[in-house]
Amino acid sequence: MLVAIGAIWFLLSRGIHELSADQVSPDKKIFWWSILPVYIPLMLGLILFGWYAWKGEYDELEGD
Amino acid sequence: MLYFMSNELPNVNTNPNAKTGWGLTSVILASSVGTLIEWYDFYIYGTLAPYIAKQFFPSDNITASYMAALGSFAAGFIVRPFGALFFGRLGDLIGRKYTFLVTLLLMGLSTFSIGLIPGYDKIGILAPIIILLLRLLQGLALGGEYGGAATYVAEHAPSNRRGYYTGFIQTTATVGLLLSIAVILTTKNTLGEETFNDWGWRVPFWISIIMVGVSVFIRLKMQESPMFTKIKHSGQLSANPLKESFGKRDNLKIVLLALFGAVAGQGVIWYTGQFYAMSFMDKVCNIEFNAVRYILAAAIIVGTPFFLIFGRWSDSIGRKWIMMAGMLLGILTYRPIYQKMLDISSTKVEVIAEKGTIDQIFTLNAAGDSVFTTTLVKGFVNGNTYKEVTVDIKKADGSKVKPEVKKTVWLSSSNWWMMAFLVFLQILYVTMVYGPIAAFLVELFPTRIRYSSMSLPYHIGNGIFGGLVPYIAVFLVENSKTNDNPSGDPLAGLFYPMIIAAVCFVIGMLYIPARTDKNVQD
Repeated sequence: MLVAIGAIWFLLSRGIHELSADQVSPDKKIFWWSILPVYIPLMLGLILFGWYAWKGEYDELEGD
Repeated sequence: MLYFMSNELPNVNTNPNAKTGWGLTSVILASSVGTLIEWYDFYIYGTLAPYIAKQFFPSDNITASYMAALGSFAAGFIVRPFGALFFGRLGDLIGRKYTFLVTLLLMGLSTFSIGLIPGYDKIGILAPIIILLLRLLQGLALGGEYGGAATYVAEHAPSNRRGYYTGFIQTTATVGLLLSIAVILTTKNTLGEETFNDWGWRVPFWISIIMVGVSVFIRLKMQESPMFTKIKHSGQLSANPLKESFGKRDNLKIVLLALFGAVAGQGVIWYTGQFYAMSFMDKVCNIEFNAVRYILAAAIIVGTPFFLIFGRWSDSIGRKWIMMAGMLLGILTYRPIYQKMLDISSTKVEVIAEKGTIDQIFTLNAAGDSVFTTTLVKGFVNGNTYKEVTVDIKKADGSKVKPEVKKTVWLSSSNWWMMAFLVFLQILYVTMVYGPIAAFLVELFPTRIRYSSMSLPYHIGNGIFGGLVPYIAVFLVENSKTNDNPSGDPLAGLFYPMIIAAVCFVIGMLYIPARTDKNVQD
């Protein structure tokens, strides 16, 4: 969960910083507008995974 | 707990629907050929990225043009999960066979069409827009293909050899890449470089329609999966596979575990070992185009049998340990491997005297511009040869354009083999993480929602985490450039796959069960 929260913070802070610069090149705009909407939901999924792990949902899986 | 050559699970088949002999061979052939063609279609786009960049994404800045082409390449990866959702649902509702007939046709027609689209100079902004749309269709099609093929083979295979037989499906992505390289090199060598640069690069896209036709013919003769047929006749089909797969906690938690504990790491290892290695040799080491493809082809040919070897081994000791070992090896050795790749292609070594020639050619074009072409050739003590061609244009109005510099390195024989070995090592890691993973994913989910449940994490892990490796890596290297260090850190791009693989390794080691091979009938 901490890794995911850290990743979201990093992506948002870096992305906003880069996109709000005075002169942003088109390839940087394309890059950040592609990466942010894709990776932030994935990191939310990682937080959900961490929550399930925290609650012990994976403690007894078949095959262990 | 560790299971090595465990005696705790019986080495017998528990799948009553398992086929043997020619029956199983025909199942594997029908699934593999079509999947291979789909991978070929998907990968020729990436392999020809420099040509697509020039034709459809022109720019004064070569890096920006390449980034735009890679971006459209990446778009095809980003939509794969949506294809997985759409076709996964279809496969769980109507069956595996017809779903991946549709995906094959969609992929084939999109690929063929890419070869027909006129360039930017003919139709302007429409060109990159149409290319992007076709690329998205390719991504959707691929999103539906793999889950169906892996599920189809797994549901026919003997349970105690599931890793081995699904290993054949696992070879198709790499062999598809090899096929794309072979077709491109053959076309280029047959037509010549100038014709290939002009229109010959379209030929590999056109050839696809023939291969798709053959594959559709083979697949039309396939029978539906017996497990699917069984649950269909017994009324056990899922009414809403997507809701059951991702809306219920018991299954959703397994989907998340599959993604973050296995597939994300597998995806980055896969794409680093093949696509990023190719891109690195092209753009950072500046190795000659054909040589890069021959190196990759050689490494792939030698490495491909290991998909089956590790798939078979995972039938004995479990899927987890082999996948985790592949990830760990990648994390620990990528930087030394890529540093060595840089070292053996370096132009900062001693120059052998009297091996360089400098020519300066002046031409005047129709616009009245002056064009100076300077060619510099160097030979190095390590046997490598280097050629630098600088094209400097001085406009008739007196203004200057930034010179275009093309650098090419030809490796000595011993350095060629060393480079091939370094790429082979990476492909070995690929076979470790990818060989067992089809069986691993199939075994996690019940038949009624298997196609949907395994497709989504697979295509997120490979399509997004893995597929974006070259794109993000180029961005990281560009961003490492500073005024003090204008060339940046050429290895900066490796941070992304290493970090993703490391997180996945920790999660996988802690939470993936030691053994997941079980009876997949339900």
